[in-house]
Amino acid sequence: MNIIQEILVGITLLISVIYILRKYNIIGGKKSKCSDGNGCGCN
Amino acid sequence: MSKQIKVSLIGNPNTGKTSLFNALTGLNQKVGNYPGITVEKKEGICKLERGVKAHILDLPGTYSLNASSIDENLVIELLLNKNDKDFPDVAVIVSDVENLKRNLVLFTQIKDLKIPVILAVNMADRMKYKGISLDIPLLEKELDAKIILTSRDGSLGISELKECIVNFKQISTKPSIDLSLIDENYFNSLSSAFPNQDLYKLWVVISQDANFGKMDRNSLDILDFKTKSTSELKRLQQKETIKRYQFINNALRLGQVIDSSKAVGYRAILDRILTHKIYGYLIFFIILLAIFQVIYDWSSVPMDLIDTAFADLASYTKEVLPAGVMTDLLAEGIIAGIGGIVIFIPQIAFLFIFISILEETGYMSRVVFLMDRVMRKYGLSGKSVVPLISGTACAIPAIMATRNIENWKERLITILVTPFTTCSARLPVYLIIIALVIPEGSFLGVSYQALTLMMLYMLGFGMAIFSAYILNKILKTNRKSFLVIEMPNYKVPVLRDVLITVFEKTKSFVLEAGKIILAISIILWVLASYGPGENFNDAENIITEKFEKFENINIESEIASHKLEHSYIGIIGKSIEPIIKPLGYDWKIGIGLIASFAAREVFVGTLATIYSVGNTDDVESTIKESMSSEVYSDGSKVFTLASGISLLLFYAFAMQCMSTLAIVKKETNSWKWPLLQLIIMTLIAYVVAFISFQILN
Repeated sequence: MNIIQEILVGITLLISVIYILRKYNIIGGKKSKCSDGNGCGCN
Repeated sequence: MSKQIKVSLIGNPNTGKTSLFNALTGLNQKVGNYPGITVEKKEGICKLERGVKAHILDLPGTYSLNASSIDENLVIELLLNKNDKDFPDVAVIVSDVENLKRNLVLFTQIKDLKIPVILAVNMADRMKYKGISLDIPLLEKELDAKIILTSRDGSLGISELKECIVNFKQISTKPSIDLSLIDENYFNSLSSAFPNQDLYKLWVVISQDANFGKMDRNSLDILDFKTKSTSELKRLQQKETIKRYQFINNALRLGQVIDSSKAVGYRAILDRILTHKIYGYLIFFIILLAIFQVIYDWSSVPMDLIDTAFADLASYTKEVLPAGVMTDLLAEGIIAGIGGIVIFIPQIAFLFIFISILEETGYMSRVVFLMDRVMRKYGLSGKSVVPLISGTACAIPAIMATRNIENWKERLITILVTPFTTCSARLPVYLIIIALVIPEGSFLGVSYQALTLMMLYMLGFGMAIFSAYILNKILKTNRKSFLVIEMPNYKVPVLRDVLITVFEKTKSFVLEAGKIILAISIILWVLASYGPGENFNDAENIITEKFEKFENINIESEIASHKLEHSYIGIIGKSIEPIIKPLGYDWKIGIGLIASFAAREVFVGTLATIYSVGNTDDVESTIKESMSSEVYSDGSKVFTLASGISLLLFYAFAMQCMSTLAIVKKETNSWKWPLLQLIIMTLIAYVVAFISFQILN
C-alpha cells in the first residue's frame, strides 16, 4: 500500500512541476494562442 | 449539427451592449482575449426559436469605422474580412436612446458594408423620463432597417430581437449613403480601378490611418490608382461624416420627438457634486471606506465557515483514507492549499460586486475624471488613469491597456508604476495578515482592520503617483497626452449584469490562481516532507535522545518541527533567513515570499501547507489558527504587530508577480525595464519593511 501511495505522490508531483514549468513557459508545450504572447499569464 | 447564426453586437461605448449580451446569452458565455491585443472578447450562445442557435460576439465599443485605437481597429478588421471565422451573418447595432443621433453614424457605416443590420435602440425604458418618443415604423422606413426597442434589464424587446436574428436573411442590405455624393470623380475612378471590390469597403481601407488585412494603401498604389494625400483623405472623411449626419437628421426629424419639458434631469446636479474638487474626493473616500468596512463585516462569517470546513475535511481525509504519504499529501498539501484560496472567495466576490456596481452606475467614469485632476500635478497624463485604476483588479491587463498612450516615455512610466496599485492578488495576503495582527475595535464606526486595508490601497496608489513623479523628472517627458472620456448617464445597476460579472471574475480568480496554488502546494508539501541526511531521516532518535530527560515535552511535535527544519524546504528557508530576519520574518514566511513570486495569492496557501506539515495534532487547525499560534523557539509569536505591518508593507511595494514581469518585458521589448522594476520595487519593499519592523519592534 505504501509503495502505491509513494508512486501516486510521485505522479502528482511530476504533474505539478510540469504544470508550473509550462505555465511560465520554462519548458515548451502548448504555444500561446496569442501571436505576441499578450494575454498570457493573466488569462 | 445545425449551423449557428453568427451575430456581432456592435455599438458606441456605454450603450449597454454587455447588458444586451447578458440578456441574450445568460451564463452561456466565455471571456477571452483577442489574439495579440489588449481587448477583451466575450462570446456566448443564444438559443433561438425552432432549435436554431446564435453565436453572439460582444465587440469592444467603437464610435465609428474611422479607427483611432486598437479596439476600433479590431471591429473594423473583423467587418472587412469575410474569411474571419467571426465575420457576422448579422450585426446588431446597439444604440442608446438618449444619444441616437451620434450612435446612428456607426449604424449607417456598417449598413454600407452591406452586412445585414438590426438596430437595437437600448435603454428604451428611459424614454419617458427623457421626454423622448420614437415613431418606429417611420424610422424603419427612413433608415431601411429593422429596429427593436430594448431595455438594459432585458425585460423589453429580447424575444423580438431573437426573432429578427432568426430571420436575418430578410433584412435589407441596401447602403444608406451614396458615396459618389461625397466626391463623384474620386469614387467613380476608385470604382473603375477595382470593379470587383465593394466600394465602401475600399474606402474604409483607404481612409484608415493604419493598414488592415491584405488590402493596404501601398498595394492600391501599385495598381495605377492615384490615392489622395492624407489631408485630402481627411477632408473626404469629413464630408462623408457630414453626409451621414444629414441622412440621420432627416430620419430623426421625422421619427423622433424630444420634449425637454418632460425630461427629469438629475445628472447635472449629481455631476456637480461627485466631481467637485473637494466633495468629489470626500465622497470617493467615504465610498471606499464603506466598501472595505462591508467587505470585513460581511465576509468574516463565510470566511470562518470555509476555514473550519477545510480543516474538518483534512481531518476527515486522514481518518477515512489508509495511512500513508498520499493521504498526507491530500490532507496537508492539497486540501490545505485549496483552502488557502477558497477562503478568500467571499471577500473577492464582495470587492467585485462593489466595483461592478460603481462601474454600472456610471460613477467609475467620474472617479477617472477626479483622478485625472490629481495625476496631472504629478506628471502623469490623463490616459494613465485608466490603467492605474484597472490595476486594482490585475496589473497585467492594466499594463496592456497603456497601449493607447501615444507618448512612449509616458507609457513607460505608467507601465513601471502600475504594479504599485493594489491588485486583487494582494487582497488575500492583506486580509489574513490584518486579521492576525490588527486589533479589533473601531474608529468613528469604521473598524481598524477596514481602515488598515483602505490605507494599504491608498499607499499603493500614492506610491504609484510618487514614483511617476520621480520617473518623470528622470526621464524628462515633455509632451502630454490628454484624456477624453465620455461621462455616461447615471443608471441603476442591473442585478443580473452585476451577478454575471462577479461570477465570471471570481471564477477566473479561483480557477487561474487556484491551479497555480494547488501545483505549488503539492511541490512545497513534497519539499517539506522529505529531506536529505541523518538530521531528517533520523529525527525520531535525535529528538528522543535530546528530550528523554525532560517531562511535559510533546515529543511528536518536536520531531515534526525538527524534520520540517531539516527538510528540503527547511534548508532553503534557513539559508535565506538571515536576509529576511531583520524584517521580522522567520524562514517559513521566507518560503512564502519565494513561492509567491509565482503569484501573490500563493503566500497564504504556502503557509497553510507548511504549517499543516508541522502540525502533529489529530485535528487539523484552520489557517488563521495555525498562523496565530506559530511561535519562535523562545515562545514569542511570529505574527506580531511589528512583523505583520512589515509584511503588509513588503507586499504593498514588492514586485511579487512573474506574469507581470513577463508582460512588462513584452510591452517594453526589453529585459532592462522589468529587471529594473523588480530590483527597485524589491529594494523599496525591503527598506520600508525593515524600517517599519525596527520602529514597531
